[in-house]
Amino acid sequence: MRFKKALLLSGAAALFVGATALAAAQSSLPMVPSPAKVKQLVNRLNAVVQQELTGGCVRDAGNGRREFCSESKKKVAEAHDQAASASDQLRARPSELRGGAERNIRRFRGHQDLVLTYQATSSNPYRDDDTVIETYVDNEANEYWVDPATDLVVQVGPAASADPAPHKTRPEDRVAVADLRQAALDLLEANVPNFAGRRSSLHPLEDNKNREIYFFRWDDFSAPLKESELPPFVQVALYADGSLASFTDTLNH
Amino acid sequence: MSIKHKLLTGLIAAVSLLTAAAPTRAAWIYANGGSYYTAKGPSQYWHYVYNEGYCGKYAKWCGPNHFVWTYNSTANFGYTNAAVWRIEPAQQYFSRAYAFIPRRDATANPAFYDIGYAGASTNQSGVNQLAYYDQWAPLAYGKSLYMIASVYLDDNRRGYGSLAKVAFDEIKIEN
Repeated sequence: MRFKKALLLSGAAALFVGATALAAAQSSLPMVPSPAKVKQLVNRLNAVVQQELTGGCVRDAGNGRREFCSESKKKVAEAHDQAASASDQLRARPSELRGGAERNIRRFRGHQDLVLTYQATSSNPYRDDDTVIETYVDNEANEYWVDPATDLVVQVGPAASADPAPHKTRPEDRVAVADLRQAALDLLEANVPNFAGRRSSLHPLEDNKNREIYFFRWDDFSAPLKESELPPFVQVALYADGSLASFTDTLNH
Repeated sequence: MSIKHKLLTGLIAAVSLLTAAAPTRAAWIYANGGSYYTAKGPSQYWHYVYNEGYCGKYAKWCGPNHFVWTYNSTANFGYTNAAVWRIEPAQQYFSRAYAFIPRRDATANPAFYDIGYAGASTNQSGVNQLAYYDQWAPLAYGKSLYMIASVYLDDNRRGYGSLAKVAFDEIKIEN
């Protein structure tokens, strides 16, 4: 009897603790805006755009283009960012579920302190279906695409930025092509599921641009494609000094 | 309902694969030719590469079957050749923009793409064409932009980089 009572009490306590924890967790979760709220923010963006186009600061940007200036630029940018963020939250997975993606990016780069910023969730440009990618940028001007279904990296490359960073390999830092090839293979085997097992069925290609960047690519021509898609491929692009220029894996995503 | 539809523009007519009401997923590909594309500058500086690029090599359903390139401007500021892809009608979505970077004759680092969106907002970003090879490269620093209306590219290196080839191929707008 005492045992049963103790069990009952401990069960009630567990329920209380669980409910408290759940409430705390829920209160700490970011609120996903309702579709109506997103629509409201988009309507506001449209209104601000129209208002600044008619009465704000707009100047000629050349070639028949116009651009907002001064306060108009700030107002539209603010309204745009609010609406963009809210709109993205409707489609994105909750931020607390993105930890695996960030861990995989850091593992991929071998850089545990890499500072990553989530940008957006959007359709996968390599697929003519409903699959999506998450986009992250780091503090070294690289952009990452991650498949949220697997948390695996789909593409890495230089981010398109307003202030792009140059990369020049000094002659004494050049690495032999055989070593670059091995580095590419090592990277693929560590990051592309079952690459070693599939490699023999893929079509290999090696090339370079200006002997500054070397490309190691394997295409999969085995399956018929949707008309707008590229054949699935994996590719590693390495600067002549061995550092990573870009990476793509559409075999698995 | 999740729908992805594709609108092909370029030298051939628009084709809508799925046009059910209020699509939530959509992609449009704008070719480097046709009524949605305007190129300017001395014609002798445009170099045509056939059977390469997105429509030339991979997507036989679209055209033209070439891409073009030009050397970036030898002057650090100012441009000689330029092109604009008009995204018409501008879609009332937040979308991402991508440029297809061909495997050859695309060596500019950077090539500056200027996106017009949300009325008269602009986003200028430098793409390292050298680092990409027959693939989609992202524009606009990973951002989704509302009502993208145009993408502009010229050969002005804006003080960056060295003499290189700027490739003009297909642009993809996808939400």
